[in-house]
Amino acid sequence: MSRLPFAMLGLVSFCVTAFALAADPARQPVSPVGHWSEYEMILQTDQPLRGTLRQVYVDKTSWQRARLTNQLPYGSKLVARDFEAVPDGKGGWKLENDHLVPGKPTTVLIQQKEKGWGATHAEDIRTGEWEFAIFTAAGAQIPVDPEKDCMPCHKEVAATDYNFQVSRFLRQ
Amino acid sequence: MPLRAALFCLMLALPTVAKAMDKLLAVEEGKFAPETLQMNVGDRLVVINNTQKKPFVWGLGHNYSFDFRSTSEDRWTHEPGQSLGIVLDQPGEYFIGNSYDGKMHATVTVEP
Repeated sequence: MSRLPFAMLGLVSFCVTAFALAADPARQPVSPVGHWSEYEMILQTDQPLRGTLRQVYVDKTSWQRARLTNQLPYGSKLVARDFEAVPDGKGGWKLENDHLVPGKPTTVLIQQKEKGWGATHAEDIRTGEWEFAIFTAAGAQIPVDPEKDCMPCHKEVAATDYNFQVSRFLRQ
Repeated sequence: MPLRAALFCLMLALPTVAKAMDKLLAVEEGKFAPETLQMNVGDRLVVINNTQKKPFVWGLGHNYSFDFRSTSEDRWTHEPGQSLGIVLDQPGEYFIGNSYDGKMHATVTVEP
């Protein structure tokens, strides 16, 4: 008996599964907009040369565990919330405690780690089990291609769990 | 004698009127130079891009973090040859990184 039908069946099955995984909305990071009480702000990055700033949040449950274990657990949601800074009225930017003051919110970026995520990406692109999404300040999803727009840079920091600042801040 | 006294007073006053300085950190191929840098509070950290690439340079300290974005461009901070500076008013140790090269880093220490 020919093995071809079984091979074809296996291939079709693989493709269907791969497509289902890629299209599975459950593997998309959730929008944090409107749920800020579930998050803790851990640091702010100022961009004083252009008057913008980024506040970095982590969901409270994961951050509590991370501070005990020194690593980000499954379920971690790292959020970058971007703002325009408030002008000081003298050509500069208003400061409070030597930090820029957040004004109009602009964009929200999230990376979320869940067990088994990331498997739909090629190994040379994949960033562990992290997935990425970008939203407007109001919570509408902005279409991006994470494989081109997010993962290449985050892959550079595999040593700090594919994030630039949170894991390093955790160890400070 | 009055002149000597005046000079002595001037010498005593010099440290307190010392001006903030520019401290230079260069982006080279695959590294920052130097990789460690000492500054004082109020000095300006100037990062110059000596490559033909467009790096994204950022700094992370315990009390203050920053990056060098200066235009509406979000994908990089420096054009080739460009020099940008940020005054650091918070003492402490800063990790300086380039988002496009995870192996590049420098440590900047800002003394009180």
